[in-house]
Amino acid sequence: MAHTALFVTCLVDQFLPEVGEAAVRLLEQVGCRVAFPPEQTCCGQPLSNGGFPNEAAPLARRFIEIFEPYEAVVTPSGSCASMVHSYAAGLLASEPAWRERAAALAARTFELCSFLRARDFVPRARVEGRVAVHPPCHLLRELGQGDAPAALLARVPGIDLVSLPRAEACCGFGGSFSVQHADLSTAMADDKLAAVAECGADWVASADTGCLLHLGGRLARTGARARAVHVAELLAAPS
Amino acid sequence: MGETRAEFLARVRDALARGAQSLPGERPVSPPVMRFPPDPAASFAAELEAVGGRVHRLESAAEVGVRVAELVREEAAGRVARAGTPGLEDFGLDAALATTPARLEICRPGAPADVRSLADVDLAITAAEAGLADTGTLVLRPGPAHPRALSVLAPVHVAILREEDLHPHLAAFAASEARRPRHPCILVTGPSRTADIEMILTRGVHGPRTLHVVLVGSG
Amino acid sequence: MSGASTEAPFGERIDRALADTGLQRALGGTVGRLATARRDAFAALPEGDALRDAARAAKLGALASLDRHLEALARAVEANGGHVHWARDAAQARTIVIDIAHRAGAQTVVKSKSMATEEIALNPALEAAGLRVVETDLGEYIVQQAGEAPSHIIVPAIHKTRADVTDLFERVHGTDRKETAEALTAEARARLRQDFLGAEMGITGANFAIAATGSLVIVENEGNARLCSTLPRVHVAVMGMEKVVPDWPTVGTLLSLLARSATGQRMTSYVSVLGGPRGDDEVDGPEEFHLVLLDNGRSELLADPVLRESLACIRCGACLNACPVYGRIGGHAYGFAVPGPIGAVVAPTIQGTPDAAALPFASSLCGACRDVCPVRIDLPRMLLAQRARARRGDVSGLGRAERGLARMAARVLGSERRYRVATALLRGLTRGLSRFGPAQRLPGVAAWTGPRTLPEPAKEPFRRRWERDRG
Repeated sequence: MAHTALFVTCLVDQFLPEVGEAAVRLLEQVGCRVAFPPEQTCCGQPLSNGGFPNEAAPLARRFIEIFEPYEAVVTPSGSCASMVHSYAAGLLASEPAWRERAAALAARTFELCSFLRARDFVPRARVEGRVAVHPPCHLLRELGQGDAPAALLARVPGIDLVSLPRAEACCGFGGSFSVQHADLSTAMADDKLAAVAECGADWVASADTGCLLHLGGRLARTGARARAVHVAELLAAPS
Repeated sequence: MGETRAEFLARVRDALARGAQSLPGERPVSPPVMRFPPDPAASFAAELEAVGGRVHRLESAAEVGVRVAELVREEAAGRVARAGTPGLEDFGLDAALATTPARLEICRPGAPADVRSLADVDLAITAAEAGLADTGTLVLRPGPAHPRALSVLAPVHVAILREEDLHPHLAAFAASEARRPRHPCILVTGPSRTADIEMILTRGVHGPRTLHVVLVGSG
Repeated sequence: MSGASTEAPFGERIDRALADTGLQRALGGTVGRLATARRDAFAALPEGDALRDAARAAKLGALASLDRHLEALARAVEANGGHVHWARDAAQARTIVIDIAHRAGAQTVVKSKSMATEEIALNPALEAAGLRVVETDLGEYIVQQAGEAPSHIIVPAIHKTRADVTDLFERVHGTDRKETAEALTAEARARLRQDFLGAEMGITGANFAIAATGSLVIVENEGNARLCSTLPRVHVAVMGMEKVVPDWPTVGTLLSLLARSATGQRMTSYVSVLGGPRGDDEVDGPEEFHLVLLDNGRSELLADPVLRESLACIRCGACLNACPVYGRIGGHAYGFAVPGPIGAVVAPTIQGTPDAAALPFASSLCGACRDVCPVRIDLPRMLLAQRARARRGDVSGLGRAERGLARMAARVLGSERRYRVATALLRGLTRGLSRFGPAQRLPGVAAWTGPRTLPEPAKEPFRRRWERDRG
């Protein structure tokens, strides 16, 4: 049986490994044999977004070499998935052979929630507390799957899922934007968290670790009641 | 001062050549066929009224003079000016307006318009050459007896439009204009407006605050 | 008043904007309404997506033959009796307009809203040349009286409340206080009417120019552009060269999208289609018409395969209204005539200052702008391209350090072994991370941990756990 490769992403690997573990459990629940190619590092997005495409391109080529042997690649980050989807027209656009390989791999590379939804995943979790979903921008606009996290959470029996006001507004993470323009980034986080407070959510769930660390960090700093959590952790929670 | 045309265009051509290397060719995409409003006159009236214009539907040309005279009285206009375009002569306006207290001036071809005088006019009357049904838009065609300034200086503008001159939409008008372009052409959709102060809608900024369209059927 | 306000560096301008509670209140009440109006207008337009596709193709097609269209336009304008001038840059454009004004013996100039004239900082130059310049668009008039630059391309005084305008008019007009928008507008109308009637020259922009007919298309709601292009003896239109389109049907498509995208209106109150000076049989209209075509860096954008499509912009302002950054900092912070995402894309090339080069980095790349652009410009892609250009061109000390860091990061990330070693090192450094710990000295850490907490890196990264459990 072919393997589904997990691209865990640097942020999950280093800061939130339990998200990676949850992702593995979820993939196994839908019948995947999960592989973890050990040589994986980074998709190159921070370098590309920083304006360093020449430094990012080798990382893109490396990614393709590591992952293309697998039937599918799944990642718990919408922005990393969309980075892979952008290789062919972006970082590798001027290299015809790599462009083709990039396009072929992108067709088999999925963000976790959209992958699970396509596999008709039915969660066995139990979730306490009121949950609001923040759709990450790349998942929403680049991949067109912004509704996948909420669609999955809606299948959790008895979940108290509320609509987040102004859900499509960016949380303000934006990678290096969050430190280069910290005040602006924080102002955007505060707008997002005001919406969370408005709907009385205990959890703000997202499908991107950047959003998570940014909103979670701000919630903690401001002493707010709500907590940020990755959708995968809620879906994989014990029942 | 400026460059020559040749210098300017040479730089543009050079830029095009440099940029074309990795660009895919642009394939033209036909614009969609826009919906035809099923009842153009009703659509025109509804659209224009939605943006603050007032539409007066009449069955035939015979009724126009009386209605315009009513509007002149309603707006308490002391000085009225109308374009001297031949199309307007058919509506018996002058006789009808003679029954109002207003003083009427008629713009004549050949004589340069006295703009300062036009600026004191209370109500201006023009014909509209055509209209666009799906947006409630008038097509004005200033010319020999129709000063450009006439329909913009007065605080009240009355335009007379025949239903048979309605295009369904802008795309249809654009196609017809492409075949026979004539300058100037002014598309008017409602009164002058602004929301520049705190997004509060205000009418009559520099152009008319009131637009009346007398929409004439062919009855 | 010039559009650029570059006394303080960009970062400082952002901070000032964020701290300006009046600005925050004004932006909060207005920008969202424009965005909602746009959304409602497109919800009522089933042909919207198809029109956008056609509009994009038409603009890109026109750009691909820009030289031919400019040539045809010039011939047609001249055949109509107008004059065409070719301005390589802002300085040339200013000189051209001043020269026209002097030759016409003009003393007072009435202007309608034109981003091109803001871009070239025309007003101060005209004033320095002895002319009196009167902005006639109400929003532009307000900011001119206040000695400020416009902060939004469609609603120039969006940053001012009604109370601000009441105070302003009382001060500069010396009249009694007008408390309603209606009364304030009526006051402006009465004063500006005299200027329209007395000015020798009118200056406008142009939304489009039609190559086939030599027509200028000017879109507005107030009527001031009609007056500027009708009453004075001389009419000058300043236009970015990318605005030329081949024919009327293209203009029809673009007009269906412009007002809807800008304000949610189906059509603006007035669209003037002008052919230059008054016709032989016309009884009013300008006697002299001049079209000033402006390059000012546009050919550089044209030459870049990725950036070229930024020239498809029809200056509707929809991207401003969708942008969470613009919505927080307003237009002045950008320091360029056109703010928002499209401003951040073109300013680095058109203005070319180091300050402008910083603009594309002030974005979270959320893509909301691309969603609303009527010609589907891939603005995030343009922003990335400008970021890369900024890095390549940056020879400052700060730039070198960041490039060095990027190369180091690329090396570390290029090998799993180096990645493990580096992350283990960082974990060691940040053990017991606190706000005052040594880790604060790592680049970016303090900027993060000021407003947000940062979890400690996990003692056991995911890959170690996997190895342990399944290796």
